[in-house]
Amino acid sequence: MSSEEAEHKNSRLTFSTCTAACVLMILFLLPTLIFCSEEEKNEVAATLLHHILDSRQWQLLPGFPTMQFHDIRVGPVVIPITQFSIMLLINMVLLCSILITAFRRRSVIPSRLGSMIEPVVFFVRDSLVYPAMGEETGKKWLPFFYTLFFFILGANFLGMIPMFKTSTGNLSITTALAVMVFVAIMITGFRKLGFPGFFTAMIPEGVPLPIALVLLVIEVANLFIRSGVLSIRLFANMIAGHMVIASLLLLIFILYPLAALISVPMSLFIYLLEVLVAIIQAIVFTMLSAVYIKMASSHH
Amino acid sequence: MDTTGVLMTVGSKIGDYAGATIGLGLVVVGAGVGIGIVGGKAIESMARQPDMKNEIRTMMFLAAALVEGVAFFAAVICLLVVLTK
Repeated sequence: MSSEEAEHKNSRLTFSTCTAACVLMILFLLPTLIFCSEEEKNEVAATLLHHILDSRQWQLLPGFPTMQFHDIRVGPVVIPITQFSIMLLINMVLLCSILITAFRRRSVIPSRLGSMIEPVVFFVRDSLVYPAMGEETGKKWLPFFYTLFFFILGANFLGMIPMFKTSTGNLSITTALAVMVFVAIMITGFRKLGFPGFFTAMIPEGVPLPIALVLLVIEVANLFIRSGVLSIRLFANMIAGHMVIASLLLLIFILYPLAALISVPMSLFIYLLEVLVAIIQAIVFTMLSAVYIKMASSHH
Repeated sequence: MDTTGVLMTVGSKIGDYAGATIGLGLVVVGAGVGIGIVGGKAIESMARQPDMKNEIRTMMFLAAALVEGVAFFAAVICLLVVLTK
């Protein structure tokens, strides 16, 4: 085949793959129109909240039986099981099975699954962790950042599947991740700089006392606010995509049936944007965590 | 015509929604301007030094995500006002 014919064949394959993907995604969105129960048509805001909030019952699609989860009680400890807990479990099982199988062989030449995941691992290492932390400290922190990145990426992608929920779309789960990063920042800071040194490192040299006190207050507030914003950024980005798609599709019930012509393509576009946002949010969370942990252990 | 009275009656009925939607619109303006500035500067610097394209593209996405994070934060709070009466 000449190079022209090869290019033409390549672009035709890309075109057909793209159309197949778009058709598939529209098929993903259409069941919400057909399988909506009668109550949902009357109560739009309640349905929107119902799809986004956590609960102890889970109905995969209307028409399926509702699964009811009970709390696990071990002595005084009560562990509630909800939809998002099941999603966390699914996330863990999926990630563990894929990543352990991919890198089981541990040779220089990776397996087929390993060579699909290897560029992602190298991206996290060379573009997110090493530029922020340098090679020596970066090497020790790599397992933490790999876990963080793949957990967030896996949770975000699992939310794209129609019947599953997004684990990171819950403020409690993202706050748990941010608390882990916060604890890592504090531990690194206290280890490297000592307990009083951690606070004196925030104030530059030769600064009069009142300004130093104000700076100290601002820097301590900065510590807490940075971790809080980390959690809220991830939560809000994940929730916003699903809320917009749900609102657009529920709009069809409010202006029946004229809105369907605009709603479904807009929902498809926002769905594609959501895939991009899922990847970017995982990258931003990991990169910012690496930068904050590095900043905590250095003198200003 | 009692302007203050009319405004207060209308405001007490739709005050929540009006405040939330106007706030949300302002937030969107801020986010749009911010991401537009980042994108424009990124394209300009890519034109000045084409061999730094990949690094500039990565930094552009990072900065845009940070700006968008602030916008989403405010959007969530506006939505909170509307959805939890």
